[in-house]
Amino acid sequence: MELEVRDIRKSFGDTEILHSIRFRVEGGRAMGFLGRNGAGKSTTFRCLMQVFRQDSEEFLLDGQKLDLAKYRVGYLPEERGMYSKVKLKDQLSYFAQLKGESKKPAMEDGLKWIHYFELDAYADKPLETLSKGNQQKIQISQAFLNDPDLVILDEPFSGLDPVNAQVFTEVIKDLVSRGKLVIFSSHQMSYVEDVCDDITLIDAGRILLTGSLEKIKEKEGENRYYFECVEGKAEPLSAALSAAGLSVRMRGNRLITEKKESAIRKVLSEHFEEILECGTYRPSLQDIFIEYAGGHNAQ
Amino acid sequence: MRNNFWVVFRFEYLQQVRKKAFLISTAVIAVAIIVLGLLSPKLLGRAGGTDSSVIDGGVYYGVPEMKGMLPFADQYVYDSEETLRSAVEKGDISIGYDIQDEMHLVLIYSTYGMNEAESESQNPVINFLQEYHTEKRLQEEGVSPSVYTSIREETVQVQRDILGNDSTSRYFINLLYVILAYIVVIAYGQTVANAVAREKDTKTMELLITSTDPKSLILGKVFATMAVVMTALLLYLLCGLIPYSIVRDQLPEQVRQLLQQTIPTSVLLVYLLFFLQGMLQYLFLFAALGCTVSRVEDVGSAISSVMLFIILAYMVAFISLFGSDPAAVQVVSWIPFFSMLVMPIRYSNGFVGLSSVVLSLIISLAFTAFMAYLCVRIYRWGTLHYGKRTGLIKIIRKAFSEKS
Repeated sequence: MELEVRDIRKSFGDTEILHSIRFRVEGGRAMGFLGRNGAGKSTTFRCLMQVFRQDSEEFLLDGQKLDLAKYRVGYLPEERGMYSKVKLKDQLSYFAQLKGESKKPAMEDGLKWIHYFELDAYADKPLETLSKGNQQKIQISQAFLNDPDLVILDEPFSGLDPVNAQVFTEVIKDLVSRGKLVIFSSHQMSYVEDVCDDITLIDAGRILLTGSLEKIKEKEGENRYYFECVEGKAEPLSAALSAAGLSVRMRGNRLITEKKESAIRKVLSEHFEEILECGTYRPSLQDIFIEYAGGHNAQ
Repeated sequence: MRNNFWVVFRFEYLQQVRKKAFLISTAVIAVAIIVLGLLSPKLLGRAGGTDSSVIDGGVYYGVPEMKGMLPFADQYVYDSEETLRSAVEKGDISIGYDIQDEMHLVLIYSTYGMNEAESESQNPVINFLQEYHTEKRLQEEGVSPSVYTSIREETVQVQRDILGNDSTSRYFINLLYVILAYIVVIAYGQTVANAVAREKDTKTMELLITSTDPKSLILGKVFATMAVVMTALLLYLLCGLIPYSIVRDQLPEQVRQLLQQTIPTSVLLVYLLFFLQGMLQYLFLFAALGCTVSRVEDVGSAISSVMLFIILAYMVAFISLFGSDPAAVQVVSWIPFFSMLVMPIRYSNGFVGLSSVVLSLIISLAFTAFMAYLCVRIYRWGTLHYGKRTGLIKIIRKAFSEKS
C-alpha cells in the first residue's frame, strides 16, 4: 500500500495555505509529518480526510484516486472531542459502527481498546467522568477501531504522560509491523525518532524535506564534525573555527562544522581542554527540524 | 462515505430516550394522565354538577317582603349591605347580591374577570328578579301569567342544514392538535439544535464527519428525534386510554359525547401527515440553526427569531380554529412552516377540499426535502467554522458557494 500526496494546493479566500504539497508514504513504514505551529500539517490531514476539498490535484493510493469509503481509516484530529455524556463502550461501539463494523464486533472492538488502555472500570461510565488524560486515551482509541488500513494522527502525543505515550508508541509500532500505513504529526521529536521510518518536514505550506529518516540523518551528517564544548567555551571555539576558515553552526554548547581535517586538527590542538568530545556529526531529528524549520531562530 | 443512517438513528434514539430528563418528564406526564383520567368523573362532576338548589354567594334583601324567595344557604343571608360587602372582601363568598328592590340589584365582586362577565348572562338572581318583575307587571296589566308563559314557550323551530363541516364539533380536537404541535415543535426543535451545537462545542463533529457522510448524521439525528416524539405521544395516548376504559361510564354525558365523537379517517390522516412533515421541516431548520453556533449557550439566541415565526403560525392557526377563514389565512395555509398548523384545521373545519390538502402536502414535502438538503450543506460547512455566530442567510450563501 502506498499513498502519494501529489502537488496538493489549498487556499482559504485569497491566501494559499498549501503550496504544492508532495510526498509519499508506504505501508509498513510510519511517517512523521513535522512542522512548526501553523505550517500546514492539520490542513494537509484535513484535505486527506476530505474535511476540506483541496483546490488542485489528488491523493493517490496505490496509483488510484483515494476513496476513503473503500478503506478502513483511523483518524485522530488535532481538535478532538467525543460525546461527554455517553458511556465509553457505547461511544466506541458507535464510532466502530460508523466506520463500517457491525453491532456486536463493534462493541467487542470498543471493549478491547478500553481494556488495552486499562479503563475497564469505566466502560459503563460517561466520558466526562474520566480525567483529561484518560479521555485522551479513549479519543486515541477511536482511531484504532475496526483495524484501520490507513491511520492518520494529528498530534497524538499531546496530553499523554510518558507512560501512556510509551503504550501508545507500542500500538503504532504494532500497526506498522502489520503493514498498515501510518502518518502522524508531533512536536515530540523523541517519539517520532523512536517510531518513524520516514519523515516529511513542512514549513509555511511548503515541503522542505521528505524521505527516509536514516538517509536524511546520513546526508545531513555528511562531511561534518561536531564539538561538545565545556560550559562557556563554545563561543571562543566557534570564533577559532571561523578564523580557521570553517563555517560553524552553534547549538548551545555544541558546534557543528565542516570536515576539513587539517584545519580541525589545528584548532583541536590549540583548544584541546575546552572540548569534552568530538567526532563525525550525526544529527538528531531535533537538529534537523531546527535547521530546516527554525528559520532565523535556528541559531 | 458510508451511508450509516440506521446506525446514527439507533444511537441518537437510544441516547435521547435513555436521558434522565426524558425518562423523568415522560414518566411524570404519563402518571399524571392516568391519575387525572381516573379522577376525571369526580373532577368533571364537581365542575358541572354544582347543587342547583342553592345559589352560590351571599345576599342582602333590601326589600323585606322578598326575603327567603331565593334559595341562598341560611348562613349567607346577611342583614345589612355592609356585612355582605365585608363577607365578599374576606372571601367567605365569591359574589354578593345586594337586592335593593325588584328592579335594582348590586353585584359585589372581590375581583372581576371574563368568567364573572360571562356568568352574568345566566345569573339565577338576575333571572329571578326579571321573572318576578314580569309576573308582577302582567298581574297589574290583567294578563294571566300562565297564558304569557305558554306564549313564550311557542319558540321558533330551527333546523340546521350544514352543507360543509361543523367547525364547532371539532373545536376541541383542533385545539388539541394546535397546542400539541406547537409544544412539540418548540420543545424538540431546541433539543435538535442543542444536539448539533454540542457536537461542535465538544469538537466531536470533525470525528463524525470523517467517519460517515453528513447526510446520514443529519437525517439520523432528525428522524431519531421524530421517533422519540412519537414514542412519547403514543405512550401518552395509551396512558389516556387505560383510565378512559375504566371510568368511561362514570363521565358526565357531555364529556362522553365529546370523547365518542367520531372523526373521519381522512381528517385523522391529514392531522398525522401534516404533523409529521411539519415536524421534520422545523427539526431540519433547528438543526441548521444549531450549526450556526459554536457553543451550546448560543443556541437560544440563534433560534429566537424562529420562535417568533412559530408563534405567528400558532396565532394564524387560532384564527382558523375559531371558525373563520379570511383570505390571509387561506394564503398562509399554503406556505411551508405555516401549513403544518393551519392547513389541517382548515380541512377539519371544511374550508378546503382534500385535493387542495394533498397539493399543499406535496408542496410542503418538497420543501421539507429542500430543508433537509440545505441542513446537510450547512452542517458540512459548519464542521470547522468556529467563533462568532454567522447569520443563517450568509451561511446558506457560503455553504453553497464553498467547495466542501
